[in-house]
Amino acid sequence: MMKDESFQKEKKSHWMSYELRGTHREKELQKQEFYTSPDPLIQKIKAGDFDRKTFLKFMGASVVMTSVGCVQKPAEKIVPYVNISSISNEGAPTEQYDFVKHGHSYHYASVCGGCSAGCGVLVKARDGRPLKLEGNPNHPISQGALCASGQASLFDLYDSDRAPEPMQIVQGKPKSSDWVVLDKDVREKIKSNAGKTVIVTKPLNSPTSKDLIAEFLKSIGGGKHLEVGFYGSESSIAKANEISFGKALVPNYHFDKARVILSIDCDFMGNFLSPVEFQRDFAKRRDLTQSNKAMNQFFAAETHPTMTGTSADQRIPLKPGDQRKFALVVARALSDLGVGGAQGVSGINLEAAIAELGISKDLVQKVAKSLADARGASLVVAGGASAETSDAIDLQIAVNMLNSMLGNDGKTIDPVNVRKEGKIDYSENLSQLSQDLKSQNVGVLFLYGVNVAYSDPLGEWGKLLHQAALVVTVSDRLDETAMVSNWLAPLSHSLEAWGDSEPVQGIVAIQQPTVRPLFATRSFEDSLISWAGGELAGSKNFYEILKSKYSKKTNWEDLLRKGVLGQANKSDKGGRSFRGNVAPLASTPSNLTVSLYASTALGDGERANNSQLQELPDPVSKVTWDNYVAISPQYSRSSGLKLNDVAKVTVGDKSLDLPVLVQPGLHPEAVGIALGYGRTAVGGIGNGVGQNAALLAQGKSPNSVYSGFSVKLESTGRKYKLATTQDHHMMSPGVLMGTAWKERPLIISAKLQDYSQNGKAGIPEPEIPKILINGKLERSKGANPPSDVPGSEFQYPGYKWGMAVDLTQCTGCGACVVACNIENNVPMVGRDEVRMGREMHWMRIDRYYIGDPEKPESLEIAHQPLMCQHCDNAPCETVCPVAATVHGSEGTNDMVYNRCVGTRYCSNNCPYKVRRFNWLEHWNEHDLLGGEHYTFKAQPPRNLGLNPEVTVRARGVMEKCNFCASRVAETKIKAKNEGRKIKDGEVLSACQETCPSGAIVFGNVNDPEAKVAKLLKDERSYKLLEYLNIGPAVSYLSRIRNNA
Amino acid sequence: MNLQLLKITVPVAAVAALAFLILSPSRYVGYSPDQPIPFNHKIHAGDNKIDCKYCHTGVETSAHATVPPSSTCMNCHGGLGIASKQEHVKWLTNQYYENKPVSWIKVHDQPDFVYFNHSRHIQRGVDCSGCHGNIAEAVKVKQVQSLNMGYCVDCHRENNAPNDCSTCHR
Amino acid sequence: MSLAQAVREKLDIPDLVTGGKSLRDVTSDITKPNEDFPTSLWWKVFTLVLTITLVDVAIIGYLFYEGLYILGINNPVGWGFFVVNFVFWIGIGHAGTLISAVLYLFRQGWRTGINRAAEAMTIFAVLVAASNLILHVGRPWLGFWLFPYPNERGPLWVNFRSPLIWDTFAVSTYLSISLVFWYIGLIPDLASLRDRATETWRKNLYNVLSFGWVGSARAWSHLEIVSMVLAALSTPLVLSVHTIVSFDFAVSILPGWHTTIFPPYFVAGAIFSGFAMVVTLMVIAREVFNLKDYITPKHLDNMNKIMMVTGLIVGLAYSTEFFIAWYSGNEYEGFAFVNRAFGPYGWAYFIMISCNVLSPQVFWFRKLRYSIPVMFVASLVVNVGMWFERFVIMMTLHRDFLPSSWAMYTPTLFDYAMLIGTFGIFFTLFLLWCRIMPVIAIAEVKTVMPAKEGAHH
Repeated sequence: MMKDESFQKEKKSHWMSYELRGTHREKELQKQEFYTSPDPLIQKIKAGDFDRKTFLKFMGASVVMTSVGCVQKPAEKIVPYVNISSISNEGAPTEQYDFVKHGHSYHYASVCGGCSAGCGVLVKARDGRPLKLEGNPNHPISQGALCASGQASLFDLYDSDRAPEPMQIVQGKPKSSDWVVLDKDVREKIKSNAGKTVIVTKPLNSPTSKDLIAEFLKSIGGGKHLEVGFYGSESSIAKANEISFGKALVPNYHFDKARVILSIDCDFMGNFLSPVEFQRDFAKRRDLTQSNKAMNQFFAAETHPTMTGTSADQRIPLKPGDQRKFALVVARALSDLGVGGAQGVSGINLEAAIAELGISKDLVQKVAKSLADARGASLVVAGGASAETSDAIDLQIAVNMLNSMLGNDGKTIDPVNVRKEGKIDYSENLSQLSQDLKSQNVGVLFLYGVNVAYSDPLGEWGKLLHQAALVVTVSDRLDETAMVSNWLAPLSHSLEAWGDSEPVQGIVAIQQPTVRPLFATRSFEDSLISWAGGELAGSKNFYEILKSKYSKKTNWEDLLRKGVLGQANKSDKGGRSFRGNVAPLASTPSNLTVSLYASTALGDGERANNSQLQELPDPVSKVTWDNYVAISPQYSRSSGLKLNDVAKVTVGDKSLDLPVLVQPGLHPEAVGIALGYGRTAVGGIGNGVGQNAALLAQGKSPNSVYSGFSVKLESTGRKYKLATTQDHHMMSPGVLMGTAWKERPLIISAKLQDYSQNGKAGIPEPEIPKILINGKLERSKGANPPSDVPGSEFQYPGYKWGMAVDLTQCTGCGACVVACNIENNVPMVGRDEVRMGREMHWMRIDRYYIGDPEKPESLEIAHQPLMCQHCDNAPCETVCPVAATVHGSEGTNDMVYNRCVGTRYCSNNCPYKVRRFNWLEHWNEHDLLGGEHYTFKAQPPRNLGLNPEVTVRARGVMEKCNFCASRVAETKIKAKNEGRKIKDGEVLSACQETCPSGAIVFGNVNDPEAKVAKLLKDERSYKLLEYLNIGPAVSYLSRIRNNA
Repeated sequence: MNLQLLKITVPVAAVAALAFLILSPSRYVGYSPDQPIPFNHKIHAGDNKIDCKYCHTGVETSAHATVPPSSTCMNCHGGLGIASKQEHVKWLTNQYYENKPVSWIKVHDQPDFVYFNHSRHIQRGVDCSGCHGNIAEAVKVKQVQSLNMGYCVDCHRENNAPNDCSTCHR
Repeated sequence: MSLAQAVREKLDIPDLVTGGKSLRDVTSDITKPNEDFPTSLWWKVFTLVLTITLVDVAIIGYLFYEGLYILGINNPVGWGFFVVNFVFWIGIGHAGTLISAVLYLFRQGWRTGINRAAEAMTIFAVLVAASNLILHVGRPWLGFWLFPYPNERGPLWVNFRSPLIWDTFAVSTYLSISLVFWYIGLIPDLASLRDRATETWRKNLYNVLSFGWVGSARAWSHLEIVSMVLAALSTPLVLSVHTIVSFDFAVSILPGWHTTIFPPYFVAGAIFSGFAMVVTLMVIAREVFNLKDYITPKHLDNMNKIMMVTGLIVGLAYSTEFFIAWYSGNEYEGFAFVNRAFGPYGWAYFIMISCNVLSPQVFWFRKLRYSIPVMFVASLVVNVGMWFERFVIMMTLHRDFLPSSWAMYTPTLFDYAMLIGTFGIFFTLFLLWCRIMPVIAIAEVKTVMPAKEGAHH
């Protein structure tokens, strides 16, 4: 029974190859591949349907089996290919596949569908299934890295809430249909309403798709193509550029060329245009491991503490609505410093304005000074939902002015190879659409990737859409908009469809599918082709179009292999002359003002059904599974609103009930609320999580002002417990009795100038208590625990795996966390379990506040990624009664799930608390108490996404970071078979590979040439809780901030 | 009843029972399930001396030895090939042309938390027959070794192969 | 008047058996509860505790099926009520061995009145404790992996460095020794029950249970020797078991757990709570089974004295902990104790102090030592306090090194149910035992009876 119990519990999917093909028969076979218990009882229980009787039977059975012991383990099936050569849909064998080696994984270059940034990715596919995304090192945007939501986008592919087939919505009721009916209906309606077709799409960065849409409209006799995006600043930036420089465009930004950066409410590493690229470029100037101890200087003026702001050398809390005022104040200060080119700021009374902003004068001077000193190598950016104030365009104009004052145009700002060109006005487009609908001017309306009903909740689209002859929503699920349209044309995931992307002019990447569609879905482009009558631009499908297009430019095969065409052009371009008129300052409302921001994880909420993103803690507040209204400690005191109080947030005549979170670092009169929550038709995981803050948006309909308007908060008297992964009371000194964490040397920070004098600045002399060593008392010092300290009985002749984490570079974005989850089949547990403190993340990012919460200006926010430290004298190893966690010969602390009985003693004894206990059978829906336990649901298609190289853990066993043991083993076997040692950089941990700022380095410490070995010797390197003499294998590099 | 007798028999029986529990052979030895068709390794590998790697292509490069696709069988049996009249071959051929895979039953089945890598062992010069027995003589494949943890660990010890837990458990 | 009697009167030593009982009275008084049909009071109490037990068993089944997530434990606080209960009940178990072994070796006559019941209490307490230990692991059905036995895994042995393995040995040894000791002592009394039995089935039952004891001089001397040996064997256990239990905490590296004071402090605490429980039970027993003449105020007085002494030891330990925490100058250690007293779980700490250190002080006064109600209340209070002591220790987990992983522990209904359940099981066993076996060592009591007029020596 024991053995068999384990068989049922430690279940990793079996991967005997069967290529995924869309048809139903074959899906049946896929299911067969997976081990299914022959015992109907077990199945019943797995399926979650059982009455008391079944329960008792089960109990009885298990008792009997336990006592009797041996039952033959259930037989497993091996279902090989029929034919290792592709069968074309006619069934005739064609060319032999060279890549079908069972158990081998292959990487395909493609494009990430996570957001519109268009990062190039390498898709790791094994036995025909995409299992993991990594950044494509050849791609100038991602540069080998990937963000959290990019990593998580793999999960959308295996989302069981996707629409499996076309659906017709009749009186709000969806009923299954198929493509034939849909296509027929669409073609007819297009004919009957010729010329009145409207295609509304999300902002497309695929040139070919744009051409195709134009082609399509031409072929059906005219129509409109409108691009609509939400919560972004593209519109305002483009307009501002038109006004300032006479050309509407969204320029490209080169953060790697900027010595001084001023961001005005711009979360450019979180979700602004191209977060991964910007973070990577930004981090390049924060790499102190290079000989020169220089780093960039970053001022973050923000209305809400963003992930980006935590990397700032100086945070400047702004009141929502004051963004532009701040920009002009800086401009004024600059011109006072003799920097020419300022317009319309002479009238500003600096003293008064600064007083209104509520920040200190020398702070502004400091910013101006640094900027002035770095002319041509500085960068001022503003953007994102929270920068979309009523004067957003003027704000962007002010920013343009600042940049041209500092001569950044053509240097850090690239107006030639731009991101977007031509007139962009999403809200204009949207209002135009509603006009057309009102005036019954719309025939067939295609909505592709635009969830208007959700993103613009005040637009009454439910009513409007009925004005069109036919509304076809092209989406991967039956979302809010689909529910109020006539048809849902199910959309293939980006890993299932062909496409291309050109996020920046001159950088083209091909999006190649790595799996046949799991469901009866189509890419938008292929749908267009069939709606145009089966042929468009002389091709029958989008693939042919792409192939013929790019074959002209280059070798198609090479392009697919490399994944990208052209590279980043960062040479200096000619500057531009600023000639925009700067509007005079308006005063902001005196009371509380709000800024709605797109959260780092969920962004615009399109992918709210992704448990990975829902459970990824907010980088600053560490809240999961909900949005909340963030207020400052000062306001909390004056209003009496406290953490977990439910407040009624009122803006004009609209109001929301949201739980309160007291957020240090906020401007005393600022309120922050995350957008992207409160989906109602996204799926079992995302429905009803949080509230849709877009309801509070202001401005002309469609509402496009997200920040800087006054808001009223009042207590409802109710309570709602936010699910946080980190305690928020920890800052109350009453409890801490003076031994608060700030006296604990956990995160070691130092100022740049101190560091440049003394490399070990801030690092206390690591001290291991006196220990009797061969007869005399010795006090042993040094970064590594000396080998002669009793207890460290291990020698590591071969490899010794270690890790270094650079706290200067870490931005706390959480990409590593999601990458780790997906690599290691880490289950998501859901809100209730997170509230109970039972999240399973192997890797977490600890957030600490430094400074006085009463002085938001002085407040710093520090991150510390924490994974298992793989101690040499591991406390967990000694206390495990059954030796389920033992020391490996390569310095790793191995966790053997199938030996674990679950005493949890190891977790108690772990000073870092990085061990995670499986409280639930997370891989089955397990919901007897009626609580919400959102799990992976190993039911198809989710099970296809599990990493076969990592055991799926059972209920009742402990687990933790294993230094990507599966990756190490794979590489080691490869090296051994080739009779060599593993080269440095050959094996990367999942967190290291994805980290956009390159803060994590993993490798063999015994190899003196290895990067990690060098980093461990770096002056900044220190170990966490070293005084315990447990010899962690992970070193941290102290956190340096450039705030002179 | 005879107390003396009890005094002797009871302890003896207890010890015997314990000894059996400890020393009894693995219940998996001799496991030999019926396959969809009675594939005969003796004919193929034995009499006709077909190299193992002709079918088990992955054994040198992959963790899995891999069971061949039906197309491999068709190389010889396809069309009017060898023994195409034989009923099981007929069945197989039909399956193939109907594009239906064969669901073989796994004989040497390790628990799912054990990661055995064929390529490493073959490259290291471990002989197939060590674990699988003399397949060339096997009319019907059956498990000849216990293949339990003790079996693996002993062999690893003798050949000073790594004995870390992470060698097999991840 | 015999000499002994005269001496007793001179020295004013109260009789250990009062009411001028004859030997026959002793036997009939003590065996009465075993032979009569149980009183309605017994039935009422028994039904109550049995119900609790059944509920508890149902919950255990549910726990097996559902897993530990139905409990309140979480990531920093990996051990909750279950381990608290475990330590608590093991502690309770200590008085039994102490009384029957140590006091036996010291020839303390007064122990005869209470040792049998105390030993029974030990057995049942240890059983309850062990069950909690097994139930709190993630995969209880694999609990047997904690025993080293030859296996087909290489072989794979247990980790002898782990305190939990020491626990396994300590507890199992303790249980077996106490069981044997207890039963050996029972044999003569079971025999007398057999001899008094009227129905055949009772005769047969007790015949088997008493191993056909004949009461020959040889048998008696054997019994004496065996008792002596077992007493010697189990005396060290009194110290070892709770010492090892304390290692579960002392051997870890957590500030607040990693202290050398734990072993003596745990043993003292164990005896403390053990005697408190004995007093509780004895007071009830002497009322319910009308054994006032055998469990005299003198007995109770002695136990109260021991309670007071051990209470003082425990109090000393508390203060020492704090002193050392400050004296060590280790900020983590210091914080752990400040947080213990003034942190979120401070209330528990002060319950512990007031129950364990303050309440026993009443026993400075002879009057109160002899007052049944006072000692009854005090003993209950002490047991509450000792439970909270373990709770406080367990809650050390909720704030250790990294503030980022600090969290609170909120027990769920199931935790409370299991806590109550342990008492249910304990008292069910105890009441059943009272029915089928004499609660007082008849044979031993007879040896300490005051000699009668005209009795021969």
